[in-house]
Amino acid sequence: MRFTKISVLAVLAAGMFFASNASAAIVIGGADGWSFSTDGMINLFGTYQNADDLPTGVNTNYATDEDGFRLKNGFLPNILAFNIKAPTMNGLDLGARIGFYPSAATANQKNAGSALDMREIFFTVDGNFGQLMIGKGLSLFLGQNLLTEQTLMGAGQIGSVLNFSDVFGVTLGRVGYGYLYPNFNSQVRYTTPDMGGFKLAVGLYDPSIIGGDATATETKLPRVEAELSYAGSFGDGNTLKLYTNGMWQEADFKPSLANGEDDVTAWGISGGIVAGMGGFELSASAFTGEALGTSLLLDTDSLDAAGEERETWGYIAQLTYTMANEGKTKFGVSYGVNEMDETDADKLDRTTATGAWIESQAMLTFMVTQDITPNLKLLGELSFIEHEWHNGNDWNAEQLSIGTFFLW
Amino acid sequence: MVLITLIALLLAGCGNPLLGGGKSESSPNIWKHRDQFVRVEAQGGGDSKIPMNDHPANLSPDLIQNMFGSVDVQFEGQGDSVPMFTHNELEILGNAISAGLSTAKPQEDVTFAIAGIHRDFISFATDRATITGRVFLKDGMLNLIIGDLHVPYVDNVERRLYPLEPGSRQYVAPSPRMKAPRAWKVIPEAGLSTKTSNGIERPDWLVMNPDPKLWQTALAERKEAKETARDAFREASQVRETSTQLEAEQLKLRTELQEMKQTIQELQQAPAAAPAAVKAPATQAPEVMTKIEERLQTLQRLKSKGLITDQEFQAKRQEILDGI
Repeated sequence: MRFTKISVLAVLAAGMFFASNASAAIVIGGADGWSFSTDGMINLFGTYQNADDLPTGVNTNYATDEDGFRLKNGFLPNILAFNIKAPTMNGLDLGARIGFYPSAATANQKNAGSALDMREIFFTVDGNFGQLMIGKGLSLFLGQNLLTEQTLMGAGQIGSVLNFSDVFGVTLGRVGYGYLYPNFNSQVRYTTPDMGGFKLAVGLYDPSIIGGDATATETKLPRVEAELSYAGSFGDGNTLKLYTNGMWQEADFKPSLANGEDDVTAWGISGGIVAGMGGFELSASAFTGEALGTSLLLDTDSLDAAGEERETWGYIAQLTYTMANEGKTKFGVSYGVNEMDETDADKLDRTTATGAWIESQAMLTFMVTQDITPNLKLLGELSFIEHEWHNGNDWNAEQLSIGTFFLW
Repeated sequence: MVLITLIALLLAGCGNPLLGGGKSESSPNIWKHRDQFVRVEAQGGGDSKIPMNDHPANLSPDLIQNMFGSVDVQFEGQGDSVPMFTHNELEILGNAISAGLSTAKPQEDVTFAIAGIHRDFISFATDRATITGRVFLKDGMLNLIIGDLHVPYVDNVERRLYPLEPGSRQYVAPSPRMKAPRAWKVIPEAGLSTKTSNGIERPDWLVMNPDPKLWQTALAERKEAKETARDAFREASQVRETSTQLEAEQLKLRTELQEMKQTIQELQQAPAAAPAAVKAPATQAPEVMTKIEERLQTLQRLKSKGLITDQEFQAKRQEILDGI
């Protein structure tokens, strides 16, 4: 295989988000087998959103009636990361990575502050036994769903974070529209070596509160996440990757709820496929589970007012075509949706000021990218968003984003 | 607790062959470290009627190291040729390929993928580069088909989809979707040639005569060239050192002559007033003459070594003589 800079994005994405060994882009020092390198990128998008007015009788936390233009980061913030590698000793390769993720803009205020997210701080121990990853990095459950999705290197949905005044200097990609955001968490993870194309990864994670309209805050056990994946080639240079991942965690109410509920269990399973055939790449993924949430995992929307776990499921289908001009031009289309079931407590909310519970969030995205050089990328994206609530009302928004990346 | 136990077991097992940690794996690979390997596998990369190899074959690790260590390559656009393999790579490959060839069957090749620090390569993307190859003995000649040569080694590439692939008997034209690798060619060497297969010249397919004398000669020449270069460097250093010493001597002599001139002038101006002082130059005269002689000899040495021109020699000589 002739690895080229054309695939730098895939490598970068893998390096940044899927804790393996650190990815070195520019070696800036090192001796006696040590190396110190940096990689990263800066991106900026011009985004415009045109949104419907909010419907009536619904929980309005899941839409915004804001129209507007912003200059801000795409789904990824800017990145400056450092990689340190030790010389191989006793058959072990040690590496560490620290990644700074600063944002270009947050709220649409002249004097708004900036945001710096420390997403990656981990080290790895690699040997013929496999890999241990220790520290903070992207979580396993729904991690591949995120990494194989095209708006990772784009903008995706802007929605309610168009002018958000908190730390959101970024757009939200396809979060909530086919998967839930796995986020970067403290973990100890073991990955087996390649076993005939199969790899198994198992990790113990810093547990999270499980929250929503009620919140279980006491966590006595780590969250467990795992992934089984297969990758190989078929035919004339075609590639195939299959994966399934899952998650389990418990949390207790402190004190117990009035209805007697004293603990909740969150679980989820997911699977996906990525098939590459010539210039075409088809990918699809799906997930389901309880107490997962609507967009962000576990600590938001996972439980109803009675402390009952809400059920969520979703899927993504995506097709891209890369022209044979050394991968400089790529076209993509993707569709994804999250579906949320309504619990008994949610049904009662329809008649109150809270309003109807969100039923589905769907997004259709068209994308075109052009690599001017392996380090300079232009991107255009058009998305159509539709939300529906359990009372039958809906909300639509259209978004146009044009952005550029400098990667090193 | 379970987690701690798991980590302890894994790390403790790093030196345990059962977990394949610190030691090379014995099966199915001859040698393995993560995605690097030396292994025996079925002949590949050609039509279905691949002639059988002369396997098993006994080539000593030293011979393989000598042969591979003698191969230099020239990358397009780069000034100097560079060794194909590093010393560390040769140490691993010599032993492992020798072991592989001795156990391989006639329809098996020895393949390898190895990463090393290639000084010519360090500039961008990574400090390590990979070499992959296929080795077999056929018609008494050792064949080495290179797959990747000094290609950036990136740790986190999904090797299940993009494995490190050894060279192939079958010529594979570069994919239009992939950037063409850097063009290279081997530096001609006695006992080394490249293959032409099906009318296609294969610079990546090296055919090497496993006669130890050839490679000992090549290595000796290489060693001699290195020693010659080292000697030249040493000589240049010595010349620089001598030149510096001579300059210091010149400066010292010039100072002394200046002092003598001044003393003589003082004596000429007041011969009666200071008879005792007249005696001093007289007693110093033989020493001064000796120094002048030494200076002239030094000057002669500089000229004979070509460190100064005739013109400089004459000018300086006249200056010394004028000082008497």
